[in-house]
Amino acid sequence: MNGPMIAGAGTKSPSRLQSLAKEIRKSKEAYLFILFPVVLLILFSLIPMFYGFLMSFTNWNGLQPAKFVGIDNYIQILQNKDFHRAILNTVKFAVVSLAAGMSVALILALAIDKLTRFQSFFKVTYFIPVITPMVVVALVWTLIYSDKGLLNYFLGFFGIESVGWLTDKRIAMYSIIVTSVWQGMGFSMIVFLAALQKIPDHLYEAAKIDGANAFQSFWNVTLPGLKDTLAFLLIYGVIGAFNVFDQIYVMTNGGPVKATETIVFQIFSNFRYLKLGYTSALSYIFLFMLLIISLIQFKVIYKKEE
Amino acid sequence: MGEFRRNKIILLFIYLFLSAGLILNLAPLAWMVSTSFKPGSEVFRFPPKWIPDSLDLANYKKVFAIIPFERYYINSIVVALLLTAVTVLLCTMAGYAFAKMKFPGKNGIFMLFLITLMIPFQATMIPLFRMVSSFGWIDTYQGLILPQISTAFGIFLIRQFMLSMPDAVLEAARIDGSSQLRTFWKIVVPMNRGAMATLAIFTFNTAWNNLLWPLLVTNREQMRTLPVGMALFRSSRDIDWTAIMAGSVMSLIPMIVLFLLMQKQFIRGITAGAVKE
Repeated sequence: MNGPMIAGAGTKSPSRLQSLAKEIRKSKEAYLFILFPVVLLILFSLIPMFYGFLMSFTNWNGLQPAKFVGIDNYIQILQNKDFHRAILNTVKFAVVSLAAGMSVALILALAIDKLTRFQSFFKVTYFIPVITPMVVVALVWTLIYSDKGLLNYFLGFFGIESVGWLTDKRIAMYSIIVTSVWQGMGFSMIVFLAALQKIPDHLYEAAKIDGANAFQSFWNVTLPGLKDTLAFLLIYGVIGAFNVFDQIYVMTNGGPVKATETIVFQIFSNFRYLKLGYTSALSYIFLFMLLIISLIQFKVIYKKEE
Repeated sequence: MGEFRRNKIILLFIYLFLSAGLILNLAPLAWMVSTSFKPGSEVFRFPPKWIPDSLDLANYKKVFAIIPFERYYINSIVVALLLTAVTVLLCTMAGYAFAKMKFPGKNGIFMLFLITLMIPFQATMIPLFRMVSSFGWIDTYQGLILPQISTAFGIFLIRQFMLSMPDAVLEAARIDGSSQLRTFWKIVVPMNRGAMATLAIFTFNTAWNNLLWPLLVTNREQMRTLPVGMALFRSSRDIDWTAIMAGSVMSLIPMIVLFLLMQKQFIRGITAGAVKE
């Protein structure tokens, strides 16, 4: 399709141009069908992208006219200790929450897959946290984590001292991770279940005939059957984890002493101080990181479709 | 027979394990409901009380008295419904064009949509915010809705479904002299209701839960959506947990009702793109 548009643009004969023009005229209806999405795409995706790119080379603060400062913002960010910490925090959140979330979800899916009755009951009930708005989830867990909250009550019941779940800087991030895993594991569970149910039974029977025990058939049949799903969920999850914001905003506001400040949260808080040029550069670094992850995602999906 | 017995015992263990997990899984939500009915003095009572003394609606009334909760609710409904309707309509039309029509530049434009699928909203939101505020759209519905219409995912999803639609039907309609728009409305839409429902639920859920963008583009209390209102309610004054939990229950109810009414479509909608049919 892009042949006539690109190939030999300079050498196009008038008749070919005419036929292209005719084709475009003939396709008026088709263009009408995509008109609004294209306009929205240009207005709310492409223009902000270019605008942000230009802003990232200025010292704009929203009040005085912007001054061009070259790559100063980028250098400042890359040298900033707060930024290093935000990256570490984001990676910590992503790695721990994915490892924990995927393991729990896989165990649940394997268990539910074995059930002969009430299968959809368990499936539906374990899914409920997924449809709970993150702000609501974060509020409920803040209450549970509070000083005299439910969790510290249980610790006290066993004679253990209270823990500052959201106020101790060594623990706060893990508390947020537990909340996020609780909210998200139903999603991965459903995806795992769908994949498990697609593994043909005859593979299990063959493994049984070969004398494989339960663990061996899991290792040799189930796990290879889940490989694509696992890869997909991992990359999907990494992108979701890098975008984490809601639970941090509600539960800790980035604290204590920035111990839970992630990249998106830092974009948000710098923006609040109207450091617009700086924040734009930060957004672009974030975008670049995610593009790399997304490229891997595309590779995996395309490999799957081939 | 020995193996049969062993399998039964294993199955019993699985049921026990899953039931115990389920109780843990639902405990936070049960605590939310329980707290929403308690008087403030009982929130941190020792030992914790799971069943409240009475189903007193005082906290629910209090939410409406302290904050303009009904406005948050209306705003959330307006934003989520409009966003869903527009997104589904635009994506279905464009998805149809990309799946079944021929026009110059088709592949190039489609690629452009795919590329923007890789750009996270968080990365462009600051310049987007500056644009929206220069339009004078802060504290308006258009500011809440228009920049949030993202069609790339929906177009991709709908196009996948439409590729498997038989050409013969569309061909027959064209021979009968039906216009594209008429064909779309009379044939394409009825044939793709399932895919449209999936996209609708996905979009509605995302819109209902969204915090960051409404937080940026609203200043006036009257324009806040539920997530923004609830998040700021917690940070604004002395924390009133009973009222916060009552508000949380009320923001969750529409989702629970929708979910229980159409579990299958809901699960398909939220996992759209992750599970291949």
